[in-house]
Amino acid sequence: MFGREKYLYDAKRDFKPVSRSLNLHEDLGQIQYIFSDKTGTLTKNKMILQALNVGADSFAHNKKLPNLEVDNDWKSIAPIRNKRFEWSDESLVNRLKDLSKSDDFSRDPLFLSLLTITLCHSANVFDKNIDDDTGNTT
Amino acid sequence: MFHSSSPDEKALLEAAQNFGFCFMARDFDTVKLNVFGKVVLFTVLHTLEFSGERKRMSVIVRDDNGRILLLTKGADAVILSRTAEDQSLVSSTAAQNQANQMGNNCLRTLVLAYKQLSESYYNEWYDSQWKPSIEDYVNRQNIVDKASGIKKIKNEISRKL
Repeated sequence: MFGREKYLYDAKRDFKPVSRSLNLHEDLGQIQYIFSDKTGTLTKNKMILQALNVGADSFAHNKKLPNLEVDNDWKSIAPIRNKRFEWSDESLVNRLKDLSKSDDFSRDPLFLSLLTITLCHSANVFDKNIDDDTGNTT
Repeated sequence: MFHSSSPDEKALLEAAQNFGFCFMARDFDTVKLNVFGKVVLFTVLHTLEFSGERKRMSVIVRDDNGRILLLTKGADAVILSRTAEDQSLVSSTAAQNQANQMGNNCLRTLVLAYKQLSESYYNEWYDSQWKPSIEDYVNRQNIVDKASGIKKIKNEISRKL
């Protein structure tokens, strides 16, 4: 019966539920709520930046929108990019373009936020010479 | 490209890289960044490591203009309870609302904060807090502010180092 449950069938993988223990069905029938740790437990813990709030400004990637084209202005402010990264919110890119042209951005909240991201961490670079996007060495 | 025990850090660094802030290399006490196409060096004066108890990580850096900055990244509740009340950027209530909203959308949230430290304040902190902390295992640490607010300092005793 369990194996024929249409709501548990995954059409993408053509995969039916498989029962590995007999008490499972009984337990499952009694469950009303499932609490789970959202990070890493059900997910793969593969993190990608989705949204950024700086003061009153909100920037967010929207998966339904196409990714922004990298134009020359963007290339000059971000010469080292990673093509796996997707971003659809033009307002952040425009803010960054303006910022890069300003005389003194050292007190700008967006600048300080990105500075915190790049300085406050315990990560290391393991291959700094390869640029995923352009193949350029840096 | 980036290697970190924390996938959050990796994601943040990859994003920042695409926004013109690239972490290039780390030396003994120097971090090399590429900011908008230019190489910029920062001296890391102190690293206050992340711990489950503190729920945040901080670095104290000196930029190429000599400015000393305390930069922090951590759990929303922990950071927002330490922000200055009179800061201009965003109130901690508003920031907490933003974080809650993102959390409700199943996003993992982190709050960033900074504080600029004056030379005299830093020296005083170094002599009175940091040095003794190494000596007697008590790290009383001065702390931070909001995602770019400023001011006020709170002290904390944590058994670290």
